[in-house]
Amino acid sequence: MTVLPTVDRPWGALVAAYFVIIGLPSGLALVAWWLARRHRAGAVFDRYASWLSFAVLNLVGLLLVVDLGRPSRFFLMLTRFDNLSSPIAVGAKLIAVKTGLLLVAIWAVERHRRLAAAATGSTIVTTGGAGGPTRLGDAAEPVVRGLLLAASFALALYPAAVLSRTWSSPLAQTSGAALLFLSTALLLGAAAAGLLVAAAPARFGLAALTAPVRSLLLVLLAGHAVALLFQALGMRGDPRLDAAVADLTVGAHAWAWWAGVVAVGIAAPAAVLLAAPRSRVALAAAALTTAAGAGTVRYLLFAVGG
Amino acid sequence: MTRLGMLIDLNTCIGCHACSVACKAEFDVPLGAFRDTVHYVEDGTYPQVTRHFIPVLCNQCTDAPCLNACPTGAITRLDDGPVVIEEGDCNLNRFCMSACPYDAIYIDDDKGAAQKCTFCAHRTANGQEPACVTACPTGCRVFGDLDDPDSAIARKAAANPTTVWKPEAGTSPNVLYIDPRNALPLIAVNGVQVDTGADLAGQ
Repeated sequence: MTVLPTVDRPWGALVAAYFVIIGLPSGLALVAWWLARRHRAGAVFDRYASWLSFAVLNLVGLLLVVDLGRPSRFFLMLTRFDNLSSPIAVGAKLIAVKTGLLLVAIWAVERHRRLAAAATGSTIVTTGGAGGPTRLGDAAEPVVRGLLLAASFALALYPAAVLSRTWSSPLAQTSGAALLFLSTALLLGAAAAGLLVAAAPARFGLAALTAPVRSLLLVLLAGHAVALLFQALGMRGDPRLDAAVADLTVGAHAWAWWAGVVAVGIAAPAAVLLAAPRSRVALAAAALTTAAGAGTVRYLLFAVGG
Repeated sequence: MTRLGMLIDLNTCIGCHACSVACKAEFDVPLGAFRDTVHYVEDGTYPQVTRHFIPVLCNQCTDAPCLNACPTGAITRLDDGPVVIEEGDCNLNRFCMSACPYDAIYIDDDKGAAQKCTFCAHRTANGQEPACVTACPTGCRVFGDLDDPDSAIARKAAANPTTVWKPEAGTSPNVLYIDPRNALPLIAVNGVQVDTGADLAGQ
């Protein structure tokens, strides 16, 4: 029998980058929410997380526009509502909604800061602006925050819905794909938090988050490893999945799996965080390798088996 | 309710590509792309070898993945069944191409839109048959209303065992095949395939 070459994928490097990067703003929002609920310095982090999420969301929007063969018609993704069964249609609208909500949240935080700075006479506000009066009102702000969290959670999962509808990403059709997109989004967010906490000067007031972010990274890495294990255990019996497993373990993507995901993405950061629990350099290194590993998992879910 | 479909008898296809050429001419399909083509699949081990000719086109699925995937609503279904693309609403996001298990959609750079077989909707609206059906020298393609028990396609489908390409995709194709040698699964190996070896070097 002649086995013919497979056709080129309709989606290339830009869309792969999109599916990797889109996890970051979702993870950042969820991690910022968790830190803000448990630590006073979390409110400071929330400000940076909001700005970074806003920048990344604009970047992924730009990626999509550049990738389109007809960028002048990008607006149709946002203005057409006649096919809401399309995950991309829902995702594009979610990104637009989240960007708008982030703008409102950032406006509120910056206003808090200005008011707090005016009250204290200081140019550095280490509370992130929390606690002051806001024009949004006490009732509206939790609503915006809640919608932001909901949109972030949805955007963390949505790549699984998109890719599960394609023939080119069979791994995304597995039972654990959505969980892996969520865990990698959280890891990307926690890794960004780790880098911010490790790199920010002391006067920014983020140093108090070193231990919480370290703990969060360790817990998320453990959960991620378990999710990967059960994903692997669940991939048996389907010829396409068997081929994908072979590709990952001994085939063309084996280096990305063993080196990128297992060694760099899980083992290395866990070892560094456990060996040097108080070191900010170790936290930064662990955050970098965690982000690399999480990004690699998302890329493999997109690329393997097509 | 009319449900247009096509029945392809693999017993009588001779792989002449008259269908492909007629389709290319009808729609000015660009070089390297096809709305309708013929896969050549070799089977067996020497000296017990054979070659199958398998015409493939958009399956005009009842549960069309492309239609469900399109985020701009550019892909719609005509009243009599065929799935078509409204060029003006297509922004080339290519989700339809990723969702289609049959590689039946391509990008036409000149038109700035994704394109696919429409069962020659402009011809069938005037009572004509699709160009590929008219061009086929062996009459291996039968076109008509699958829901009309008196139509030629319905009668032939009732008289012969039929199958579809990639039934596991769950798309309920409206292109049926008479495939006594079970050749269709051979082009399903490793997903969607195209025979790039058919291109000559230009010497």
